[in-house]
Amino acid sequence: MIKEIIKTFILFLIIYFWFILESSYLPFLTFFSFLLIFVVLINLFEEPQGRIGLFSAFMTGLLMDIYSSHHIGLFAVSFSLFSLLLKFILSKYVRMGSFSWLPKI
Amino acid sequence: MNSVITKKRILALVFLIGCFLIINAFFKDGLKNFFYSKAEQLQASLWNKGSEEYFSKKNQEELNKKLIEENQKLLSELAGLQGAREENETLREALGLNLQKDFDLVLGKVISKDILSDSVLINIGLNEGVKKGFPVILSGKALLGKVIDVYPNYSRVMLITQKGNNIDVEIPDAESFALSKGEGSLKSSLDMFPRDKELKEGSLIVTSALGGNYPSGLLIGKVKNVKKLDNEPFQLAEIEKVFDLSTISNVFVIKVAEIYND
Repeated sequence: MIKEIIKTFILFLIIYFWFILESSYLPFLTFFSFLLIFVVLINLFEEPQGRIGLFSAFMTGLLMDIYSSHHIGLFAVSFSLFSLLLKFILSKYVRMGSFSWLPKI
Repeated sequence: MNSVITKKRILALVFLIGCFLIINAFFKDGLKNFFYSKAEQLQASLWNKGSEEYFSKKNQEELNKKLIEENQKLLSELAGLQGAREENETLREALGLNLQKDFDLVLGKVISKDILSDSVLINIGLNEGVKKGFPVILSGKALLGKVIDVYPNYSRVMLITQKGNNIDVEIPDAESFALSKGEGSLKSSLDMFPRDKELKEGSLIVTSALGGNYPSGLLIGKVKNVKKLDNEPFQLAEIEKVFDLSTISNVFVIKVAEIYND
C-alpha cells in the first residue's frame, strides 16, 4: 500500500514538473503538448488492467484544470473517462501488444 | 463487469466528481491561487530562460527586445498620427471622450501560457486592484488581451488571438471599421471589411471604441495577405501581430474607470 502511494506520488511529481516545463518554457518552441501525447501513448500500450495510464490521465487533466480558466475537474474527469474507454475498447476489441515491463501501481 | 471498468473505479469517479463540485463551489479561486503561488518563481525563471533560449544569441536578444518595443511605439505613434490627420479638433473633442479618461496602469509579469488555449497567467490580481474585463497592453500601447479570470495574486489574460475573441477594430488608413477575429494558435484575422474600400497591405489596425470592449487607439497589428473573394460579402485579411509571445515579459493592466463589456 505504502509502495503504491509512493509510486503515485512520484508519478504526480514527474507529471507536475513536466507540465510546468511545458507551460512556461516550451510555449516558445512548440504549440502542442508532449504530455498529452505521453498520456495517450501510455494508455495505448499499457496492459488494460494497469493503472498508470488512468492516473496520469487524471493528474494531467487536473493540472490543466488548475492552470486554465476552466472549472476544476472538467479535464480531470474527461481525461479519466477517455482513458477508461480507451482501455475498455482495447481490451475487448483490439489485439495489440502491450508494454508489460512498465512499472505497476 | 469488465476488468477495466470495475465497480470500484466507477465509485471512485463518482466520488471525485462530488469533490470537484464542492471545490468549484467554495474553494476554486483559493486553490488555483495556492498552486500558482507555489510554482511562480520556477515558472517565472523558466519563462525568462525560454525567452533567452529562443533567441540563441544572448546579445541579440536584448537588442531584439528593444527594437520590438521601439517598433511598437513608433507604430502606435504612426497610427495616432494617421487618425489625427483625418479629424479636426472639434470632432476629436466630441468623439475622443474616452481618451480623456484617466486610467492607471499596473505592471505585471507573464509567468506561463495555457497549453490548450491562447491565454497567459500574470502575477498581479485582486490585491493589486485588477478586475475581470480590464484590458492588458504592452509597452507602446500594443493590445495583448483582456483579463478573464482574477485570483487574489494572479490573473488570467485572454490573448487577442484566442479563438472566438472578436474585437471591433479601425483601420485609420482606409477610414473604415472591421472585426479582428482570434483564430487560435497565436493567429488572428481581419473580417467584415467593406468590399468597396481599399485595404492596403501593411495598414495599421487599432482598436475601436465602437464595440465597447476596449479603449480606442490600442495597436492590434498590421494587414497581411488581403483576400477579395467573389463569393464573400466582405474583404478578408490576416493580421500580423506586433508582439511576439517569446519576447513578452512585462505587461500593463489598464485600470479603466468602467469595466468594458464582455
